[in-house]
Order: sequence, then structure tokens, then C-alpha cells
Amino acid sequence: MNTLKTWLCICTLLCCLNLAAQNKSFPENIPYQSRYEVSPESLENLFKATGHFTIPLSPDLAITGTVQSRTEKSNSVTNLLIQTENLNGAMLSLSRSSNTNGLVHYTGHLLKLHEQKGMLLVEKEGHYYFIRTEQRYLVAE
Amino acid sequence: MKRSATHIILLGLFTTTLLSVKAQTPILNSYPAAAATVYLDFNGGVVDGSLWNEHGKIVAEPAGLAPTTIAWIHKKIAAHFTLFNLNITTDPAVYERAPVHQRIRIIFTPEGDWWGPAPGVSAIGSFAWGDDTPAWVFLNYLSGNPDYIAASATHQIGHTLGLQHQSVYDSYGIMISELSGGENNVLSNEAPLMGIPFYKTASWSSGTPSTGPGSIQNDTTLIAGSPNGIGYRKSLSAGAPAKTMDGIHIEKQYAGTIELNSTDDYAFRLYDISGRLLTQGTLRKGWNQIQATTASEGVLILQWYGDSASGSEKIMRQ
Repeated sequence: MNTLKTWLCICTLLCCLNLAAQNKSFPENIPYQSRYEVSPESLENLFKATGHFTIPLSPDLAITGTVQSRTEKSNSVTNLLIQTENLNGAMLSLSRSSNTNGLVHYTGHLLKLHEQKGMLLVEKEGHYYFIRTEQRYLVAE
Repeated sequence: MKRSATHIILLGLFTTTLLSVKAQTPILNSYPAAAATVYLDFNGGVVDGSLWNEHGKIVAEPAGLAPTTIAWIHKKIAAHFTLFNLNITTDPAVYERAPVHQRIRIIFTPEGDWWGPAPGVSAIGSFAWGDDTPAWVFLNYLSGNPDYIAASATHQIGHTLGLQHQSVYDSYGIMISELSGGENNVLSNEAPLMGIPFYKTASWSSGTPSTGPGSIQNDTTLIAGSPNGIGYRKSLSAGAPAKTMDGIHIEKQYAGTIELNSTDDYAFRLYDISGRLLTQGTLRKGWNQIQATTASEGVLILQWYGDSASGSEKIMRQ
């Protein structure tokens, strides 16, 4: 009985630690494991990339891959699809849009279908971050 | 010989007619006044340049559904969005005209082998991404059942509008089920649209999402709010003792009861402001009384829909 209680306590403690490790308040209301701040300039470099390239986004995150497509939905929206090589072959999809005042905003996600983890580009107070999170929070059935 | 040839020609004409009827998608719009658009695509096509295209182009076969079935599915889906300033359309031209950050294409196709066995799949929040990433409904997995198809499509649309699954947790915060089947209220025959919407009456709900038990996901608030920017169809006109909507006239509103005059038969649902379904039923032509004794006072939302018209209205119960 004491052994059972001990195991129950350990399991509860591990669950609590796991929940505590998932920051939910910043920058998005979804749990994530890690984040990488990326500059708008580095994101803009991705839109300028051609063919095969390597572009650093942050000290801990670089993209090596090939541009699959670049499309303009209108004068104000450009979409970019990149097949990465160094990130398990995941697809990086970025969208750049500008409003009537010329302010540019980026959205994006890095996913490999059926993998457990994925990344989401989020903006908070003028700063951009790639957050690494469970893919089921990004793609769902 | 001549007779056989005539039979062959007639058979050919009959087959051609059947195929053309099957191939035609009726042009339907639930709320043309809205710019924000959900396009129900039953026509199939080639999808490329999206996050789904890891292994190249995806050829989506046409849904192969009869026009009457498509119209029925459209009606069922649209009924879940009567609250919002959102157009559910089957017209590709309407989708093309919609703002790129306020539109989504839902592809209805028989097979989803490239993804795996699932009733559908979508990217959460893709409605506002601006890159035309589509969402999917796989018909063969749904046994071709129009009820299931409509429910699955609504669920996927919810994902594209930023909704996570509605989940069930125990008192310690451990997830029991990622998809709620309505277990939180075993006495009701209702389930969340973002849970398992197939076997019970499904509606938007307010509950614990799959991201964790520490927060509440209010489906209707999230759909209407940022970044979708959809909003509700009509603004609140508080304090008005009586008001007229298309086909319905509110006679009286007082604690526990709303009295309405209806010009026709309509199905209705009454929600509180958090999206909780208070009661539902049918409004008959003439005088009707709706009672919701468990309802809180304040702002309520009445949805109503019939063959010829539908709508929703915020009302103030005094």
C-alpha cells in the first residue's frame, strides 16, 4: 500500500512539473517547449531567397532548404513555401502582408505532417518568435 | 437494329443527364452581406503550394454528391453560423472576392489517403493566415452520411477559425478524453461541435480545450473575435421591449420567458452570451413562448432558421 502511495505521489509530481514547464501565457495561449526570437529582417531574407540556401533566423535557429513556391495573393500579401533540409524535412510556410499604412506583418508555421512537434511564428509587442509546440495544437482532425 | 441503336442513344442521353446533374454544384450563400467567407468546395481540384504538399501535388476528386445533398449539407453547416457575420458559400467566385485574411476553402473529397484515416483535417487558425491553406473533409471515412459530413465540416471550420478540441479532464487536471462527447452533462443529449459532433445534437460550447484544463475556450467568442474579425450579425439594441426580425416579432421579454410571433415554422436555439445552449425547439406560425428557467438574465442570443429564411439576434432579457 505504501509503495502504491509512493508511486502515486511520484506520478502526480511529474505531472505537475510537466505542466509547470509549459509556459501558457506568453506569447500564445498554447503550451510550448521553447521559443526563438527572430528579427523581421531575417524573415525578410527568406522572402528574398532563391534556390538552395541557408539563412540564420536566430543564434539557435537556421533554415537550410529550397524555395518551393512564392505567390502573391494580392498587392499586399505574399506567401512563401520552403522545403527545409535541416529541420527533419519540414515545410516552412510564411505569409507577409502589409496594411494600408505600409505596416508589414508576418505569419508562419513549420510542420512535418504526422510528426509530434511543430513550430508556429507568433508576434508579440513587435517581436517575432518561433515557438516549438505539440503539432496537435497546430493541425487537428 | 434500328431499335437497338435508339436504345443505346437514349441510354447515353440518360447517363449524360445523370452525370451532369451529379456534377452540378448549386450556388448557395448563407449570408451574402458578409465579406468573411467559408467556401464549401465540392468540385475537387489540384492543391499545391500548401503545408499539405510535402509529397507533391494533391489531386482532390470531386465529392460526387447530388445537388440536393449538397444543398442540405450547406444548410446544416450554415445553421451553426447564423450568429456570425460570415457567409457560407458554394460559389468559388465569392471565395475569390473575399478578403484573403478572412476566408477558408473546405474541400470535400472522397479519399484522404495522403493524410490517413480521419474524417478530415485542418490547420488551426488558417482562416486568417492569408495563404489559402485549405481544410479537408474526407467523405468515404464518413460513410457518405450527409449528417456526418456536415458535422465533420463544421468541426473543421471551427479549427480553421482557431478553435482547439473541447476536451474532458478529471479533477486532477489529467486529460480523460481529447474529444468531448458531451460527458460533462450526461443528462443532456448534446455534444460540443469541437468534440465528437456525430452522435448527439452538437453546438458551440464553452469548456476546457485540449491545450489544458487551466483555461476555458468559449467557441463563439473566439470565432467572432481577433484575428478572424468576423463579429456578430446584428448589434445589440438593449432595452427595446419589442422588435421585428425577418419573420419573427418579439412580443415580450421577461424573466424566464420570451414571447414571439412567428410568420412561419422555424427551428430555434437560445444561447446565453457565453455560448451555452439554453434551450431549442420549433417556433410555430403564430404566437410562441420560449421558456428557459435555468437561463441567466441579461444578453441572450436567439438563432432561428427555416426553409426560406434564417437569422440570429441578440436580445436583452429583462
